[in-house]
Amino acid sequence: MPILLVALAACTVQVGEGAKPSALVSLVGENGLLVDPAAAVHRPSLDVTLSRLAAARILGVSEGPSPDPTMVKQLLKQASPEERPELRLKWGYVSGEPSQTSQAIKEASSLCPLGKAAAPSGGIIDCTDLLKSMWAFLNVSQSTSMIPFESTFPEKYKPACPPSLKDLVSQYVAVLCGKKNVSGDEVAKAVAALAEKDRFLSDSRSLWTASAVVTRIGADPSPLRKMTVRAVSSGHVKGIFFDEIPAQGTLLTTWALLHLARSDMRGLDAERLTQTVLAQDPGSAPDRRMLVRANLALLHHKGGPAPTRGLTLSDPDGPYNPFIALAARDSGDLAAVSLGFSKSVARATRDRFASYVVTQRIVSGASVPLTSADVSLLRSLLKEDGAVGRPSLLAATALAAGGQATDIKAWPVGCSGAPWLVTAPGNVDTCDLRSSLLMRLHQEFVAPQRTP
Amino acid sequence: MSSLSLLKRTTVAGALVASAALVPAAPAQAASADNYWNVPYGQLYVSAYECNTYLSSCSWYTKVQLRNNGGRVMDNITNTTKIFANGIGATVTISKNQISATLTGNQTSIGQVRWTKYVSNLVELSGAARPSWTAIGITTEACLTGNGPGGYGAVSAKCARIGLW
Repeated sequence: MPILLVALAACTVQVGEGAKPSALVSLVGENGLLVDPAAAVHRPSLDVTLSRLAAARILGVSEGPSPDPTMVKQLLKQASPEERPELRLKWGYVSGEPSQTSQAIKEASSLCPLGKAAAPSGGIIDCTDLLKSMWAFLNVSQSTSMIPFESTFPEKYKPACPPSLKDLVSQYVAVLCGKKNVSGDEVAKAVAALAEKDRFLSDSRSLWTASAVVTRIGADPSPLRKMTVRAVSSGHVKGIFFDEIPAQGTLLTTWALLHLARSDMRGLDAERLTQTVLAQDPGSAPDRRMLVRANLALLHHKGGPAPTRGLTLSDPDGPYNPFIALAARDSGDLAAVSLGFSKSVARATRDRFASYVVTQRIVSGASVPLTSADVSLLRSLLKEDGAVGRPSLLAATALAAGGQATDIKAWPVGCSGAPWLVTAPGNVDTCDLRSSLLMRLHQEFVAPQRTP
Repeated sequence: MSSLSLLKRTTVAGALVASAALVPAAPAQAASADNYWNVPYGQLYVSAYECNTYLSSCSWYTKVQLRNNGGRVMDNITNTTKIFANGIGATVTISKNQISATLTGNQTSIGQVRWTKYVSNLVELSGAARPSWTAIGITTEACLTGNGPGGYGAVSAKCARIGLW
C-alpha cells in the first residue's frame, strides 16, 4: 500500500487583519509562472531525510528527528530497486543498525551480481555508478562494512584523483582517492562560495557531500553545522522530510489561476509576472500565443503579441478544450476558436460530448441546442458517480450550457489558501483546477436563468 | 516512433496529510530563473515543459542538459522522469517517444521513464499525456543525474516538477 504523505508547500501567511495575501503569491514557480497547486505538493523523501541526518551524524550535530522505522520501511519498499541499496546503506548509518548495511549489500549483490547487471525492468542500471556511490559512502563514513562490501564486489572503486580541488565534488573525490593535500582553507572557501552564490549546496545530497569532506579533512565545520542544524530543524512528519523539487509554472496554469482569482491579487508581483509572460516564447503555436495574450489581459497589460488566428480544437478528447475557448475569450481571440470535429464525433463518449457542449457554449456565447437524446446522454453521466465527482460537474455544466439548469452538489471550497479553488470530493487537499473552472462556468451558465 | 502506453491508477488509503505549517516551502526564485546549477564545468539545466500545443493531443516534455560547458562533455547523463497521477482513482494514459528509454510503473506506483546517454550533454524525453476527466491531473518530475567530465565525479540529482491538470 503506497504511502501518500503529502503537504502543500504553498501556505498563506496572515500578515494582519485585512492584509491576507492572495494565494497566488505562494504559487509562483521556479520559472516565475504560476504553478498548479497539485504540483506544489511535496512528497516524503527518504533521500532528503537520510542525507540530512547523515550530514548531522558525521558532523556530530545532535539536533534532528528520529525517523519512524515503520515509515522508513514503507518508503524503502516503495523505492525503485536501483535506489534502494544506497538508501538502505544510509539508513544503516543514520540508525546505527549494521543489519541494514548488510541488507543493503545483499540487495546490491542481487541487483548487480558480480557488479554488472541489467535493470529488472529491462532498462539499463549502471551498476558501476551504484557500487561506486555505495563504496564512497562506506569510505567517508568509515564503515566497518567496507570489508564485506569489498569481498562481495572485488572490483576496485577508488576514483582517480581530480586535477583541481576548487569545488566540493572534486574535494569529495580527492578524499576518496586518498589525496593528502586538500587544505581546510580551500574547502572552507568552496563551502562559503556555494552557500552564498549558488543553490548547489541547498540540496541535501550536497549537504552530505560537504559534511563528509569537511569531517574527513578536519576543516572548520561550524558553517556547515549551522546549515545542517537548520536543515534538520525544518518541517517533517514522523521524522521524514519532504522532497526539495521546485515546481515550474506554465502559461495555461497561470491563465487558469489568474482567471479564477479575478481581483484577488494582493501581494502578487504582477509586474514581474507580466515580464515573465512576455518573455515566454510562444513559438508557432497559435494557442500558446493566445495564452500569452490572455495572461497579459488578466494582468491588465496593454501590448504583447498580435491577435491570434486559427485556433482549431482538433482533439475531441482534449482535456483543455473548454478552457482554451475560455482563455481565448479573456484574450479577445474568441472569434478565432473553432471546433475541428463534428457533434456526431463528439457524441462517441459522454465525457467528450459534455466537453463539446461546454466548449460550444463558450464559443457561440449562446445556449447550445440539445435534443432529448443529448439531454439523456448528459443526464446519464450526471448520475453515474452519484453526482459528486468531476464527470457529474462536467455533465451539469454541459446541461447548463444547453439551457437545462441543473443544480450541483456542494463541493469543498477553498484549497491551498485560495477561496476560489475547489477540492475534488474524496481527494484530500488536492486542488482541482479543471473543476474550479467548471464550477465558475456552471455559475455563469445558470446565472441568467435565475435572474428575474 | 514507438508508443508504449501505461494505464496507471493511484490508490490512496490511510493517507497522512501533513499540516502546511510543518513543511518547508519551496523558495520562489527570480522570475527569469530556469532550473540550473552552476558547476565548475558548466551549468546543469533541468526543465519540464507544458504541452507544445493544446489544440491537439497534449504532450509532456522534459530535458536535462549540461550547457555553457566550454566543450566539456559529461561522462554520462541521465534523465529520469517520474509521472504521478494526482487524486484518488486518477487514471492517466502515458506514452513515450524515445525508443531507447525505458518506462516502468504499475497500477500503484508512479510511471517512470529513464534514459542514460554516455559521453553526452543532453537527454530529452517526451510523450503523450492525457488526463481523463476523472483524473485531477498529472505531475511530471524530471531529474538529472550523471557523472561530470573526467574526474568531476557524480552529480547529485537536480530536479524540476510541473503539473498538467
